[in-house]
Amino acid sequence: MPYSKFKQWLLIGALFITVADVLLMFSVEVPILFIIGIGIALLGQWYYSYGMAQYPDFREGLLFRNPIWGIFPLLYGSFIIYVLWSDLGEFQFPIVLYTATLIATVFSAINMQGRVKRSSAILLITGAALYMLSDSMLAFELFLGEEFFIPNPRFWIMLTYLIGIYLMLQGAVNASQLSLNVNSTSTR
Amino acid sequence: MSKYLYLMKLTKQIPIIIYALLSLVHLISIQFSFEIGELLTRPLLMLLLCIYTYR
Repeated sequence: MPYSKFKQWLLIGALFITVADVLLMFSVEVPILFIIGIGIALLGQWYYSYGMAQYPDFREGLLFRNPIWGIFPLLYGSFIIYVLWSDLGEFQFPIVLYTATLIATVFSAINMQGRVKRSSAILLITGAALYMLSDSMLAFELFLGEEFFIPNPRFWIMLTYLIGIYLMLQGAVNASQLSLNVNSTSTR
Repeated sequence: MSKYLYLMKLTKQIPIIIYALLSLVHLISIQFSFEIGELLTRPLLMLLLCIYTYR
């Protein structure tokens, strides 16, 4: 896969998440938009994961070389499902699927370490982790209601979301710019 | 020349500066339950990020 495609996959992911965001804003008035929004956000996540997995030198990535690093997102994902399970009702399957996709995104981000410049990998990993944290807080707020004790949860959900998504895309921009530079110098 | 380069660099950062400012407006809207502010800024924020990534 050409390096520049990497940024394109993440951009397509961001576009899907933009559409999902708009739909989810109106999901209180029109409940079916919640499921449609989650579905589109899932596609966006899939593009993020796919873009990072398709980046060259997959086997050089940190997670591939040392799978123990995958324990953190796995543990947090399991924690989300464990806490929410009894309150999910008919949403058990979509939420488990969405959590699995979030874990896959963090896995892909961790596996970027060793394949891109360290600073870009840190941006991607921090961004993916914050994104997972934000979505988990959103799920806690939606399904646990008043049992979820943090003051003004929507503020923290959006703060982590806005920083997370920016860091991921900035990491993608940095990684693809560096790769383009490497390509242009190697052809001289 | 260095001034020109500095300006060029700054121009490239404009979408991200607007993103930071809009994020602030969005978070303040949440804090003060100003729904229209929230609804207007959220899609704009994502679109800005897409433009920033695409350029």
